[in-house]
Order: sequence, then C-alpha cells, then structure tokens
Amino acid sequence: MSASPSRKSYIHPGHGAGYWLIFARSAFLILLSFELVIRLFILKHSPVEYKPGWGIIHVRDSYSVHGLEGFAVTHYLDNGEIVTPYQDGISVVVLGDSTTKAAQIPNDSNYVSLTEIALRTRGIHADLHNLGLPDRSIADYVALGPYVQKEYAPEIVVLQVNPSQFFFARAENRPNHFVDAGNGVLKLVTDQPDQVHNLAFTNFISHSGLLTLLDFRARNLLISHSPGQNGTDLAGEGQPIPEIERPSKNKDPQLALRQYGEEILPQIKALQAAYPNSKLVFLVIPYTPTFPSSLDDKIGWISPDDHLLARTLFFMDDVYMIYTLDAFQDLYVSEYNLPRGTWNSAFNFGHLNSHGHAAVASELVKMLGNILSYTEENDETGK
Amino acid sequence: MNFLSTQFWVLLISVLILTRLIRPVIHQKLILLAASCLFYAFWDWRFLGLLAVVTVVDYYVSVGMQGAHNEKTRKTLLAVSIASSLAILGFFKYFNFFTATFDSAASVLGVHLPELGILLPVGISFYTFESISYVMDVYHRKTEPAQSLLDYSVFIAFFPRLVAGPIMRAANFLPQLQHGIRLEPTGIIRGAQLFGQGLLKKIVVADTLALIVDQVYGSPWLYSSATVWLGVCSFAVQIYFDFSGYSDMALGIARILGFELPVNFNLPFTSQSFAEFWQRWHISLSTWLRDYLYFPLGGNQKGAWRTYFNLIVTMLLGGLWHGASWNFVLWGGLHGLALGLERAFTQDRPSKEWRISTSWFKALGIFLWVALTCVFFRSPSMEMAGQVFSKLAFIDPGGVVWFFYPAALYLLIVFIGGLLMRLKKIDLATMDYYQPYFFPVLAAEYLFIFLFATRNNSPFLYFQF
Repeated sequence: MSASPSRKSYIHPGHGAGYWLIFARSAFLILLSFELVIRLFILKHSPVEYKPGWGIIHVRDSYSVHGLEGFAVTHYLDNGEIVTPYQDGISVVVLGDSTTKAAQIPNDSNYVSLTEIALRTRGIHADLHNLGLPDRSIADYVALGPYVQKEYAPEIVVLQVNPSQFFFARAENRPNHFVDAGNGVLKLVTDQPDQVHNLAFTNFISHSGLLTLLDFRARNLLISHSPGQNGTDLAGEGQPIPEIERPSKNKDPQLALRQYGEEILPQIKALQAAYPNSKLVFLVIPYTPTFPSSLDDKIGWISPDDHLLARTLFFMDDVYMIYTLDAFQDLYVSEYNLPRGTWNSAFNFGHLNSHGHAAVASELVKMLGNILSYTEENDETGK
Repeated sequence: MNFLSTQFWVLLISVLILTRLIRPVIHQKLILLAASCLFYAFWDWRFLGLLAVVTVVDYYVSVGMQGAHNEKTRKTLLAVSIASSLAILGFFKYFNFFTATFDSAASVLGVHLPELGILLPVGISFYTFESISYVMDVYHRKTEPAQSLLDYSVFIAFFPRLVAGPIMRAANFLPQLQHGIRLEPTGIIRGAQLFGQGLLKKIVVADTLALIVDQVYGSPWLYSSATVWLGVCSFAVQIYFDFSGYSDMALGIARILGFELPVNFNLPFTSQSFAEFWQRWHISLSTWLRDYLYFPLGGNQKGAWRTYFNLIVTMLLGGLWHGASWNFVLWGGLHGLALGLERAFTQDRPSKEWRISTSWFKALGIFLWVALTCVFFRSPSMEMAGQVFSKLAFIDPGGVVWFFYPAALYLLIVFIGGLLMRLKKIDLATMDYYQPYFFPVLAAEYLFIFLFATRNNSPFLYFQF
C-alpha cells in the first residue's frame, strides 16, 4: 500500500471511476443480499387493504414471511383469512389474536389447521376459517359479528380470548369499544380507524423485506423508549400494550372473581347478540409455563389472570369453554415438551410452538367433535 | 449508562465536539476527566468519592516514593498504598463473603458476625488493580510517576474502560495522554471498525446464545442431558463473545479518542495448552496476575513444587477477583490445577508433525475444560452447579429435548463463521479502508447489527466484577 492518508482525506486521491464503480457494485450486492435473505427467511409483510366492517386485512392470495420467531410462510384468503387445508364443509370461524394467527409456525401446524384435519379423520367435515389477527378486543369481535355471519354463516364461533381483550374493549381510543348503556348493558361504539391513510406507506414497504424489517426495528426502538409501554406484538402489527390494572392483583380472590364476572358478563352477552346463529366456544390458553428460580420450585403452569378468566367463563351459562392448562401439563409430563418458545425465542416469552398448538388442537377437536356430533345426531332424529 | 445507551452517545459526541473546539491539552484532559466522572456517576454517583480517594492516595504515594531518599520509606509508602487499595476492595467486595464463610465457625463460640448491606461499586475490581500496578511499577522504577494529579485521575477514571476493563498499565497510557485527545480520520475509522466488531459479538452472538444459556442454567433439571451439555458449551462461547465484544467496544471508543488500549483477547479457543489459553484470554488480567502476583511469589524460579503452588495460588486469587463466592474460587483453583498438571507432565516438546496432527483435539480439549469450569462461573450456587454436573454425567438424562437441535445448529453456524474468518484471514477490525468495498462493508456490518440484534439484550457479564 502507498503512503499514509493525508489528514484531509482518507480516500486515496488517486481513486477515480474505477473506485466508485467497485464501491457501487459492492453496495448493490450487499443490499441485494440483505433483501434476498430477509425476504426469504426473516420478514416480509403481505400487502393490506381496508375493507369496511373488517378493518385492515391482508390482501387475498398474498403471503407473508415471518422468521423473527420460528419460521413460517402464511398465505391469505379473503377477509385476511389464513389458509387451512380444506375449504369446504360445516362452517366454523375461529377468532383470536397472534396465538391463533401463529405466524411463527407453518400454517398446517397451527391449532386451527390441526383441528380441521383431525375432525376430518373422525368423519366430521368441518371447514375452519382462521381469522386470527393480533390486537383485537372483544369489541372488535362484536363489531365483526354481522360481517362474519354474512360471509361464513358459521355453526360455531371459536373465540380464543385472553384477559386483556376484555379490558381493551373498554379503551376509548380504540376504533371499536364498549360504553355503558345502563342496566348492565354495553353499547358498541364504532369509529373509522385512522390507519387507512397509512396503508400506502405500509404497502410500499411491504414490497421490500429490508424496508419492512427496518420499519419493524425502528418502531420497536421507539416503543421500547416510550414511557408506559410494556411491549409490542412480535409480528409488529399490533399496537403497544398499555399497562392496565388486573383484577388478579386483588388480594381477595372472591372479589377478583366477582370483578371479572362483572366485567365479562355484559361482553359475553354482547358477543352472543352479535352471533345469534352460532354456538360460542371460548378458548383460554394460559400464558405459561413459568420457570422456577430455585431447586425446590416446580414449573408454574397457572397464569393468575388466565386462570381467573377460565374460572369465570366456566360458571357462565350458555357458553362452551376450553382451558388448555391440563393439556400443557400432560405435554410436559408425557413427552418432555414445552408448549411455548421456538428455536429462536425463549420459553417464557414466546408464542406457542408446534407442540403447544398440537395440545390446543387436541382439546378443540374434542369440544368441536362433541358439539358437531351432537348437532348431527339431532339433525338425524329430526329434533 | 453503557455503550448501548443514548446517554453514552450524547456524552461521547459532546466530548468529540468540545475537543474540536478546545485545543490546549490540559483542557482536553479536564474534559476527559469530567466525562469520565459523569459516566461513572450515571452508574452510581455515591462512589465517585471512593474513586477520588483511591486516586489521591496512590498519586501522592507515588510522588512520595519519587522523592524519598531511602528504601524503607519507599517500601512503607508502597505498603500503605497497596493496603488501602486492598482494604477498599476487600470491604466492598468481600466483607459479606468472609463473614458468611467464617460465621459458622464463629457461631460455635456464640459469636455471630454481622452481614452488612454493602453495594458493590461498579468497576472497583478494575481500577484498584490498576492503582496497585501503578504504585508497584513506580516502586520498581519501571515507570515514572504521573506528571500531575490530573494525569493520574484521567488514567484511573478513563471512561471507555472504567467499568469492565481492560486493565491498563500506566506505562502504556500516561505517555499517550500527553498528546490529549487526537481526532484523526484513521483513528475514527479504526475505532468504528473495532466498535462495530464488538457490537456484533455482543448483541448478535452473545445475547442470542444467552437465550439458550439462561434457560438451561435457570432450571437445569428441566432439560435433557444433551441440552444441558449444549447450554454449558454455549455459555463458554457466550462469555467469550460478551467479554471480548465489550473489550472491542472499549478499545474502539478509546481509538476514536486517539488512545490505544491493550488487546484483551486473542482467539483463546485456538489455544493448544492451558498456558497458551491464559495468554490469549482476558490478557490484561492474566498479565497483571503474572506480573504482580505470580512473579513476586517466585514464579518458576524456586523449584517445581513451588511453581505449582504459585500457579494454584495465583489462579485461586484470580478466581476470587471475579466474584465473592466459593464458585469462583473453585473455578480459579481448577484452572490453577490444570496449569500445574500441564507443567508437570508436558516437559518434552513433541515433534512438529505430532503437534499439527493433534492441534484440533487439543483445542477441543481446552474448550471443553473451559466450558466445564465455567459451570462454577455461571451457576448462582454450588447446589445449582451440582445439578448441572449431574445432568452432564447423564444421571437422570431425561428432560426437554426439542431445544437441542436448533440451538446446536446456531452454535455450529457461529463456529463455522469464526473458522472461515480465521482461515480466510478476514478481520472486520483491520480491514483495509483504502479498498473501495470498505465503506459498504462497514455500513453493512452496522446495518446487520441493527436488524438482527436479539430482543433479549442481557447486561454485559463482566459488569458484575
């Protein structure tokens, strides 16, 4: 190499067009490599559109890649529905959050698809419609009711719920939320979402894996530096989750149960009113396991909020409820498998993995199998 | 504030701007000192006074030694300085450790030793060792005393390496200080390269491995033996990338400011012997232990058995330096034992062919030894370490298994990546910046870090020392 650079420039003064050509070629090859790797293996969002009643949904026949946690390619049908193995049969709609969407595992391995396949092997031709999407509250499900009924006319609506969804339903800054109408009745307030005008930007960056990941990282950075925020959905599609007071923090368990009941019952009634022709099945998936910190402790399988929710739903009339706590414990005892965490996320803050989805599916199959078999028998006897 | 915090970058940029505006060297030294104090105060302002005490005592001791006319006075001053440094270190770091250890014996006499709620000042292990090395070097006339209290204060408090090393020697740093802060394009580029390399090691590799390690060491009894083995090996790799990553970042920032700090790691897992390992791992500490503990004890000059004893004692104290726990003492003792046994049984120099043909096995053996001894390093208690070892020995081998394959794949990718870079002599920190691809590659490195840094950001492991 020649003499040391002058203090004024660290680029050798002799470099001309040849230097810049290689510079540009290097930059291009690097960007192309990033784009290919990210698009194929890390993150690629599908384009979205706004559909009245449905909100912002994935475009039909589009796909997204999610490799930040696990790896999967998700394909979409109408209304943001995630593809399942079968598209004919008795209509069952599954509403849920990112657990149901399961962007981190192959579509055929999520609990909705597994349930559909298992029901078929039992001779029950059910068509499960996976409408899982992060950041939906109970109010959103109620608002969706007429459109789901019109589009799918489901026999059964499975609602994968968590405690937050009942509380978010009261948040007035959300497009769909509940307000008290008196006498224990809730009124749904529906506002036009304000993300519509952002879709052009969202769809622009969705064409590039690199831009998508940059946007995702930048938003995570902003959120993590914002006060009062405690996280964001891993798919980057949800809003930051604000801190809310949990009834489970109440030291009086009876009071806690009553508080849950008082909050949940009107919302359950609102759901029943929104899906009058469908049986409602509530699916509660505890956010466990939690891990012991000393040799004397055991794995924690009970999440206080989820447990309280499950107990509250259990005592309600006219609802079906599935609580997957036992299935998760059996999974560990019999197979030494844990339901959460993927190859690149830890057990205690990950989404369900394929073992967890299989465990959930086994419970859902039993419930749906019973309901649909009972329905078929009644149809046959002419009741 | 650490290197990844916004406050740190505001501080660093402020120092750089001020340096461009203020040219007199003495003012630049004041800027450095002020920045260092602010940096330390963000950790815990209450211990700034302690830092000041150590600085003032040792400076005036060195001045006293310089002016003393007889050896007895010099020796007395040396003893005062070392005693004060060790007393401070001993109190803040080891008081509760020793009281807990001797409490069981004392309780037989009906005496219960108090346990105090003592906070551990950040970086105390590092700056007390630097002060001890300084006064000993001045005593042995290996270095001149600092020209002023300001110079010595900057040496002790120099913020890029204040909280987690490397341990500097006054003879290397004080002459550099005389030119003040030098902002040169070469230094800034090299500093950015080093810093980027460190960032890559820490927040992409080390923090990802931490996902595996924290799970396994948190509840080892949950996992299969194979998974625990993987967790144990992963921790050895994690601690290397974490600590060497931090060191690279510290060196990078110092380089940006125009200062050269000592290299702290030199591919330790390529070592062919335990002795070589300690010449490549945490070099600033191992050389400190060699120069200020092993050699004064007699080194290898007083016969074979005394050499083994010196090695074991040096490493025992080296282990204790890492933490006030018998885990660390045992860790150090095992390494001392390995060094002693190696010295005892490998006197003959084997042939070149034998050395080449066994090089991979030796490197693997060294790595496994390091990984196994690190069980004591990482486990929060002896009981937990026992649990880990029982799994490693395949006693009750059952447990969660699926984590093993993807984690093993990740470790393999890290290993192959490192090997390829070594064989192709690719070094991100010394890439020739005249090459036209240099800036795109450097930008790509930082982009990669931003995009693929894990969300699981764990604190730097060596901050706890």
